[in-house]
Amino acid sequence: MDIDMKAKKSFALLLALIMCLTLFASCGKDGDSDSSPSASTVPSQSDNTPGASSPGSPAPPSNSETAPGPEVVYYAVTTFSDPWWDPALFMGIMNADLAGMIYENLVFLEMDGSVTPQLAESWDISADGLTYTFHLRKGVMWHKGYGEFTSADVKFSLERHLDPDVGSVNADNLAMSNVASIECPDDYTVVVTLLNRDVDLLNRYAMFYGMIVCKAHHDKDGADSLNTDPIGTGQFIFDGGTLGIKTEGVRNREWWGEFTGNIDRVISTYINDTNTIYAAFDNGELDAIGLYDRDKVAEYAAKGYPVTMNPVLQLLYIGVNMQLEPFDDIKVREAFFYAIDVDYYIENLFYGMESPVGSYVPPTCKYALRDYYKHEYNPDKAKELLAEAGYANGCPFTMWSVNDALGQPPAILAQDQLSRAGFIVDMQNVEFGVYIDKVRNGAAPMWVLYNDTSPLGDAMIIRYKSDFYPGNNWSGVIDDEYDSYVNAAMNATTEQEKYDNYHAAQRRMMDLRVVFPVATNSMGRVSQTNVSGFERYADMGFRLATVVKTP
Amino acid sequence: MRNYIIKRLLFAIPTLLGVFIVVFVVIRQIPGDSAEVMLGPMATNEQIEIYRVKHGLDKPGIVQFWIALTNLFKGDLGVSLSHNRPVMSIVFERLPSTIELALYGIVFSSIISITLGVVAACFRGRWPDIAIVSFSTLGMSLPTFFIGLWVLVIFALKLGVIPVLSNMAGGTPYWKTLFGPVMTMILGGTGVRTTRSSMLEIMEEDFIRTARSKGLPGWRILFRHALGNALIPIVTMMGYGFAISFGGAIVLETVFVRSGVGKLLMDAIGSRDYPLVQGATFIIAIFMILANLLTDIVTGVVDPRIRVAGDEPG
Repeated sequence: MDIDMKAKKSFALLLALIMCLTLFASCGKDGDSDSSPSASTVPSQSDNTPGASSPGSPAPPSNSETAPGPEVVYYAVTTFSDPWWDPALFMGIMNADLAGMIYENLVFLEMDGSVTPQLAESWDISADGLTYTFHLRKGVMWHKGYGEFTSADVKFSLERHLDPDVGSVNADNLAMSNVASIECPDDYTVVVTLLNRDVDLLNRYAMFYGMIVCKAHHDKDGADSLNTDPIGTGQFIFDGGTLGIKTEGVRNREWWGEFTGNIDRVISTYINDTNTIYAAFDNGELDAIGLYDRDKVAEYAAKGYPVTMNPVLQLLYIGVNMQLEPFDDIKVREAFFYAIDVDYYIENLFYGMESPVGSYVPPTCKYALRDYYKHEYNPDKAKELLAEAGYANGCPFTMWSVNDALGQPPAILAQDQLSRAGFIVDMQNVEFGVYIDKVRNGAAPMWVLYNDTSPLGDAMIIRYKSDFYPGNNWSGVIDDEYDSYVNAAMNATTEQEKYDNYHAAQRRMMDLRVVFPVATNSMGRVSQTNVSGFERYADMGFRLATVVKTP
Repeated sequence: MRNYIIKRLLFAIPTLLGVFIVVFVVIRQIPGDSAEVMLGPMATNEQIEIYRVKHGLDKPGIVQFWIALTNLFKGDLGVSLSHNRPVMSIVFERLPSTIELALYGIVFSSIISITLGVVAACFRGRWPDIAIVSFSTLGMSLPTFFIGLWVLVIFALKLGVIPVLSNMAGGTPYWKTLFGPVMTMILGGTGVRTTRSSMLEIMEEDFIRTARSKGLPGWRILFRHALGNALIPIVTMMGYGFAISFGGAIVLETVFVRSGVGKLLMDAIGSRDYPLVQGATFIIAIFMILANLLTDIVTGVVDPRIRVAGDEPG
């Protein structure tokens, strides 16, 4: 190349100039780059009054001008959290992670399992247990100026679960088929009359599917608005965001309860990858995160971050399908139970933070049988049983697990322990959709999963009824005795009768050796050192009235 | 040229229809349907049935296809199963973020690639050439997500220059939200080698020798005669790079947690949101076709020799 030195220098200078100019040009535009119209820069509260941006919407609350310091909490949830805001479509607390700070229920479930007033100040139950009269709190205002909360909202919120157009997946959870009528004698009284006694009615109304929605909002803005612009009476007002990207909430200064914290705004971002969540937290971009990974919980605790452990509504399960070979043989199932070393799991996977359990229903659930099953690790006994079952040279099968950061480690441990006891494990770590298709359709001889349930715990028992196979009876439990206990419990009219039958069902299930409950799995919430006051809630929901953030 | 554009646009119709059909069929072959995934492990058969009926998933595949196709011709891409909102509005909400990423990526990556490519060609066989070629070969050889992760580790976690969450969290200066993905596109780009090869080829041409023999200054030969003629493959590369960057956005937006169409598509596949997968893919396909068409037009403008016979401008 015959380019003289002068040309090279000119060329280098020119290039440097171009690069500097382009860099300056790119730096010129500051602010939040989020181009979605609904997710803009965090504005001051005065110019971001909820509802102000939609012409014709009811007047926003006037007290937003009196906002103190703009304390913001950034919180990370997974993409599967809050896929929609309509309580009729909530499937689990993971769908309603943030809903508890926007919506409220008639009653509230405390950590000890008791039910206390929320939107209903008090209630009376008739002597026959068929009539519940709720006396509503007066002066509770809907967010964004939709007026006062009244009995009509309660009636609407419950009855819409029976509307086919709504497509509610929670009509059964609310036992709506057992409701004879819902009457509103006045604006502050609701009378629910049942066909049969239901000792768990208040618990049902305290759950995420019992959240009360605003009738005026529905009537004015249409049914779809419940999904995109939730209007509640709770601590925070939904203030934009897009499902799957982020949710923003601004403090409700007209809330009837007492704020002891100082958070004015919460921004929740949806991140699928747990490593990204940890990296963002380490970088100070998130104020608080929820996590199950015991390594990280221990690491953050050791570093001095405030850690809160939430109640145990989740267990780690290793289950088998008793309709499929080789687990159609009780001896093989017993061998499987002897092959799992729970102590090793607790020590090495959970760092001693979790406990063994006596049943497949989490111990904090109302109907859990806490001390029945006593684990015994005995790989030699397992080998003997396999030999008796005709598998002296190894018992081959396929084990399915989810290929995420949470699902793989317990599956790898299970593979190792089962292999030592004479099983030959073909491990299939697959994406969640593939996994759930296999287990639901009775194609998974063994499955490993962390699974949670509601504070009652009855759903975890009911799911193993014969008529739910194939389906959510992943273990193929087709057993008349089990069914009879569950049916008796479901139709029981006294609390004791329910306890007795649900406990009998759990004993039967554990004796069948189909679902091995390895240990509890509580969720940790870690916050930055300048953020404190996170409280534990029985439903594992997210509320911020007590949270304090200091500069 | 006008006839050429019209012809290309007409050819795009069967391509788009093909994309729609292929995506419709393929997404439904993946085990696990939307009801099972969205409703989770505890869902009862009854709840799953309610969900399927509500979203029309209980209908035979051919009926679902017919509904989707007739809606498509009406300009309706359906309603997202995971967001309960029209697909069109969700995709167009996220699209600007992806276009922004693709544009910045291609502009910066082109500027730097052309610069480094010309420098490498100027210093052929010497240490700047060897260093630039080695570095660009390394970048080309590594998967994009791997480069992205390293950019994240170095610039976000070690140096603290950029945020981990890119544009998901608020209050971050604009340039910081783009730095990571754009840097990844630059490091993983192929432009340096294309520019270098093109420049070397041109510099051996007779007209360059003639220019030198006429005593023209070196910079003039380099910029006016050599670079101008070497631009044809470079412009082509930039255009196709822009189109490809829409597909690459899936990786970059996932690694850098950007709320664009790529991440939307990834999430939609995970939740088996059929209408959203179809809609997002369809719109990405439209942009790829348009970007390719634009590239062909620009290439034709830059080099009249490769215009299609009989398709003169005007």
